[in-house]
Amino acid sequence: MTALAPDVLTERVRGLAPAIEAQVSENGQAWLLVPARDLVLVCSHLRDHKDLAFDSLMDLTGYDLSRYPSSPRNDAIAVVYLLHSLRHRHKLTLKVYAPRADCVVPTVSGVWPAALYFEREVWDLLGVRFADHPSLRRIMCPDDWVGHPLRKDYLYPAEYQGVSHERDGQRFEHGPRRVGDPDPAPPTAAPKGDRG
Amino acid sequence: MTEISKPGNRQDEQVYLGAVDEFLAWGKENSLFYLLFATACCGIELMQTGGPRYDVDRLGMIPRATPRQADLMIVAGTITHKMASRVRTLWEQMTEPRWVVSMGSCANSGGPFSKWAYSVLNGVDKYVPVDIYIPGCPPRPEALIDGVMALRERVRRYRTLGIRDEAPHVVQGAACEFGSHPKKDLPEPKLPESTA
Amino acid sequence: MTPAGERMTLNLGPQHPATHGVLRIVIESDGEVVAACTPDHGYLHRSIEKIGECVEWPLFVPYTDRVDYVCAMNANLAYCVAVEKLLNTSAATAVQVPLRAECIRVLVAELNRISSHLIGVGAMAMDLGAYTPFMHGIAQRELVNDIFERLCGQRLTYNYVTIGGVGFDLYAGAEAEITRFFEQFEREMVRFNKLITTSTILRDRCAGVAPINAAEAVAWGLVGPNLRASGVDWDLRRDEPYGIYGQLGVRVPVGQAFAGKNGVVGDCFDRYLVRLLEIQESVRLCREVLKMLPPPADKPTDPVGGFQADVKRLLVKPPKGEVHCRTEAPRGEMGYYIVSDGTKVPYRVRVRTGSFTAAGIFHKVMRNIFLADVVAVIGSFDVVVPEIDR
Repeated sequence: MTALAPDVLTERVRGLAPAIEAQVSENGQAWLLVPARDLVLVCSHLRDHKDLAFDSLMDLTGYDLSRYPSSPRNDAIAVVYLLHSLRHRHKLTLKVYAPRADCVVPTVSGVWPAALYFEREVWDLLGVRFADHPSLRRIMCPDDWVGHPLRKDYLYPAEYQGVSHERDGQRFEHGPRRVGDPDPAPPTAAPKGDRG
Repeated sequence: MTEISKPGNRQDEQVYLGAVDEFLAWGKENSLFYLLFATACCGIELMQTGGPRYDVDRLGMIPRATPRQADLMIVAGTITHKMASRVRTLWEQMTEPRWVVSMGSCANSGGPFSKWAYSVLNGVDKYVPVDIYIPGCPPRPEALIDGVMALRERVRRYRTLGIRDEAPHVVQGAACEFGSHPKKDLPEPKLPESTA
Repeated sequence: MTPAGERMTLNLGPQHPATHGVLRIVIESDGEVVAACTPDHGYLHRSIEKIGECVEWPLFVPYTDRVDYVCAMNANLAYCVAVEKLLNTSAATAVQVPLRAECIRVLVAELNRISSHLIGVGAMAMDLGAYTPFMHGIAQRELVNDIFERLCGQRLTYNYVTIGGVGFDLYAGAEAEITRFFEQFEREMVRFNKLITTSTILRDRCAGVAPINAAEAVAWGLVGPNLRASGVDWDLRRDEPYGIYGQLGVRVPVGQAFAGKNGVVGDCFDRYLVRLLEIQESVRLCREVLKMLPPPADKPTDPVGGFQADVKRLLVKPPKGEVHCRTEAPRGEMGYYIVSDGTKVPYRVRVRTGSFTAAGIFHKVMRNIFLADVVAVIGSFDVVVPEIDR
């Protein structure tokens, strides 16, 4: 059981494919940006190599980059892989940017079966399709739901199967944007409203 | 002859002279079987109310797993859009006379999820007609028993021909025999004063 | 053996007597044997992660209660520890939780672990037909609810652990009441164990049913008691400690085929017994923490550290960036991956719960078992649907 130091880990992973970039978030958290085509190769190596032994997929999630201030990609959805090794007790964070125009990422459920459910959830809520996933269908929202709710431009439905969402014409001030709302004022540089 | 001192043992207390309907209503009131239907946090309070301290069994209420054998559906917990049609199915499977108690803020009106949640039905009365609303998040077991006692007053006035004398709560949007569109000028149902 | 083509499709529908909530499993059964099963989730999807992007940082704490209401203190704690870790990544926003608040956090978290496991094992026993132990469990849980109600006013969804501390200090007489509770609780657990743990019916129904070995458990993402029952010695309180757990020395029960002759490591009986042993360990931890508790502050009604939601909510503005932090909830690790854009509302709050991956393994594990074992398996995993659906 030898935990590798984070910079050693980073170098080992970057050696696997030339296009992998080591990045650091604004508050000092290190992660690795992996191109989608190298993902399965990298993950298999991470799980199988005896010094790395990332046998545990802690979490597979994602978030929409489009409203993140000064983000490098406003058109992409980041899929985040949080890995942990029970044997060596070290951790790693990988991210894959899936552009909205072509929102497909290969599945890692062949490497960690835990990803089966996680990827279904990312498909349901963020709209990232996972190629070769055996059963990619919605998991949280009903099967006839329209849209991917965790996207930042998601419009809340006004009704579902004929039943309106609101009670007696009640409207919330500063509530979510709903289908059928009048178009808002064009967004300025700083977001208005409750945020800030 | 010495006076029999225990209450209930006197000759005139052994004989009931009244309408069969009142007797049947007394029977229904004191044996309301509720459908074992617990969705979310209020379901835990429902279970605790059925537990040893609060014990609705002494009121004659026991949980039944199948709606065919239940008189009362306590909708305890958040109802999502996906679940709503199933709640309606369960209600339709209950045999007359049937009553619905909406327990907790989520079942009353969507609760803490009413503003920002896309998937939560803002009130179960959009799908089934509700007799009693119990506010709380979650309501204490005493509050649930208070609501049940209010319902018992209503049950006591039920007559076999099925003509209910209270104005039922109007169902918004769902078609049922009680009402089909929201009527804002319906009088609020007045809970009768409980008799000692 | 019935020929294929005579399979029945059964619906263990969203409403069913097992108290785990609105979980739907479509079972294809070959007579009495389950051939395949497909869970169907989302009946309690309350968009909690979306709400996390809409409300201020301290105002999200009540929603964490609803993520897992059976152990709401642990759920509050998981979020608050994650936000504090995020705040501590920058010296300007670093927050120091007072020692008394840390001790109270462990106290309420372990008390809630006890009451959560009581529901877990009690519900499993009730699904298998034993109604009485569940009633005993509910009775003990009422006493814990009394303590919490005096502490913070709520019986179920507490909103008590805040970012930076806890909401209220311990009330006068809390420590005495908790100590009295443990004394009668230990006597009660002896009776509880005599009722079910040593019951041959429970053992025979659970021994050897749906065993999961250690490698499978890790690969499928099981956590918490489910993982430990499969023989993996991993507990976040001991191995990645947070708060003062590092000083407490948590002892961790691991599954060892407790059922004896027919038992296999990682079967239903192991998952059940690991929870009972964890209850014992929680009692011991609470007693240790009560000894470590520092004296109270001068004005005991003030919040102990912490940002009270209605007073100071504008003050929580974590630095831009992200953090991942996990804590040990009764159903396994509750991992928070939080992305902040520097404003007073989070950018993304991701809740990773133990029941989600436990539900993920259902379709693999519930094969070639009897229909009657399906309830034993679901009960032994101790899934709560709000954790799956959020």
